[in-house]
Amino acid sequence: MLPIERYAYCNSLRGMHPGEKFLFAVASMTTCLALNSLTVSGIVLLLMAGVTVRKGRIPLYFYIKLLSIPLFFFMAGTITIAINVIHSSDQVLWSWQWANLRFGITVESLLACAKLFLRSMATVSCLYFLSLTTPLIEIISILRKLKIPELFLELMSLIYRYLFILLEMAEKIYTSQSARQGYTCIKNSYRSMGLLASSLLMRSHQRSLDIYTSLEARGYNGTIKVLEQRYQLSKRNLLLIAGTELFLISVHYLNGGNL
Amino acid sequence: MSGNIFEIQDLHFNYPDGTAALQGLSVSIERNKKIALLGSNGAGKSTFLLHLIGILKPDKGKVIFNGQELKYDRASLINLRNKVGYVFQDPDTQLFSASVWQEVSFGPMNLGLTNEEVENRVIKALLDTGASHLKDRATHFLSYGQKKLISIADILAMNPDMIIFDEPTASLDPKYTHRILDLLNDINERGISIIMATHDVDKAYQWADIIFVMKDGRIAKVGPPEEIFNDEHLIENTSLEKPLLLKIFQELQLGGYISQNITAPRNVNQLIKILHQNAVNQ
Repeated sequence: MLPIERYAYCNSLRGMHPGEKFLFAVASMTTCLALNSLTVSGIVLLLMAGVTVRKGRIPLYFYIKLLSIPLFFFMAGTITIAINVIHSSDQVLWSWQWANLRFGITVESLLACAKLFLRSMATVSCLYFLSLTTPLIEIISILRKLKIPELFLELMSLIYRYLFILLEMAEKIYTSQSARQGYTCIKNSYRSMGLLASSLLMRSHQRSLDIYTSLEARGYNGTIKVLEQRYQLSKRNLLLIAGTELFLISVHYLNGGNL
Repeated sequence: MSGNIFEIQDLHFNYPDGTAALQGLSVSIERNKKIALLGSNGAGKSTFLLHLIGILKPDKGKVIFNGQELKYDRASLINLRNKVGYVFQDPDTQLFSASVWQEVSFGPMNLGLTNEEVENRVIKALLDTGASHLKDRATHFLSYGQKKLISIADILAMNPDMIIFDEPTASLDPKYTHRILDLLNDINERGISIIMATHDVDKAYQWADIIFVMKDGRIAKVGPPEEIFNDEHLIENTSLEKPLLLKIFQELQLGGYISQNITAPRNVNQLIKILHQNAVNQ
C-alpha cells in the first residue's frame, strides 16, 4: 500500500478538523505565493516540515525522502533561470563566452533562482502537510462544503476507491504471470504486459457492472448520498492559523519587502 | 406480519449468452427462518437470489413479495429493496466508498431518513457487527474479514425484513466464519429472515432451520436439515455431501455402538453428550 496513504490515516493530527488543516495549508501556500519573499518561503518550509514531522508524527526520514522527489526536479528547472545572457551593466558572478554572446550567472539571476526554488519547495511542503495528515475522503468533504459540483466530487471519490482495487488486481495478475515465467525476457515481458493491460480493462468493466448491481440493491437512484462525519472546529487552532499568516505577512514587510 | 415473505412461482430465466439458469423454479420462503440454499456450482443459486431483489427479471414466472406480485417499476423495486437486503459474496464489489462511515451510511441515506436517524443507524449497525473500531478506517486498509463485517453492517443499517447472503463465509478463516455465523443467528433472533447460499454442508446442517437444495435451475427439495441429509437419493443426485457429523453418527448407529432410537445430533456438543450418555449407560 502507498505509504502516503497510510500516514494520512494514521497520524497524530487525524482528529483535527480537516477544514482547519485545509485552511492552514492553503492560507500558508497563498501567502507564500503572493509575497514571493525568500524569508517567508523559508519560514513556511520550516514551519510546515516542523508541524508535519513533530505534530503529525511523520518519520523525518520518510519526510525528507518525500521532499527530495521534487527537489531534483526543481533544481533542474531553476538552474536554467540562474544562467542568463549577460549585459555589460550586470554584476557578474561567473560567465563564459560563446560566439559573440556572453552567458553567466548574475547576483540578480541567482536571487531570482533562489526565490523560485525556495518558494516551490515551500508550496510543496504545504501540500505535503495536507496530504500526509488528511485522508482524501476528508479533503473531498471540505470541497463539498466549498460547493464544488457534486458530479466532480462523486467521480473523485469513486476513482479514489477503485484505484486501490485496480492496483490490487494488477498486482495479482502480475504475480500470477511472473509465477509462470511471464517476465523472464524482454519479449515475454512485452507480451505479458499487454495481456495484463487488456485483462485489467475487461475485469474493470465487469467489476463496474457488479458495483452498479450492488449499489442498486441498496436503493441507488443516480446520486451517491452519504453522511459526512462531524468534526469539532477549534477556536484555538483557527486563531493560531490566523496568527501564523499575520506573522508571515508582517515578517515580509518588516524585512522591507525585498528578500 | 405472518405467512410467507416470498412466493416464487415457476421462474424461468436465460442469460443473454443462452445459459438457461432457472428452469421453472417454485418455492415458498417462510418468514423469520434461517434458510440455507445448497447446490453445486452453476445450479443457479446466485441467479435465483438476484431475482429476490428484482435485479434480474424473470423471462417467465412470478415473484410474489408480501402477498403482492412484484411489478418491475421504480416504486415497487425501491419498496422491495428497502425491505430485502443483499450481502454480496465479494465485499470489494459492494464497498464503494473509501470511508467505512460513509459506506455504511449510503443505504439509510437512500431511505430518505434524517441525518440524525442515519447517524444512529450507522452507529448501531457498526456496534451490532462488532466493527465500531473500524469507523474511521479506510476501506482499502481493512482485512478481508473486516470488509465482510462492513458489508453486513451496510445492509443492517437499512433495517430490512430479510437479508440474502451469497456465500458469506467463503474465503474466511475459522474465527471469522464463527463470528459471521453467530452474527447471522443474532440477526435472525431480531426477527429478520435470512437466506444464505453456501457450499458448506456442515455449516448448513448445523445452522439452518430449512434447507433448499437446487439443481439445474430448479428447487430439488425443501426441508429441515435432518430430512434433507437423510435422503440418500437426493444427495447422490445433487452431488451434495453428507455432513461429517451425521456420517459419523450414522456409522456409529450402524455398528451398534449407539441405539437406533436416538435422534441425530445437530452439532458437535450434542454428539459428545450422546457419547457420554452412552458410556454411562453401558
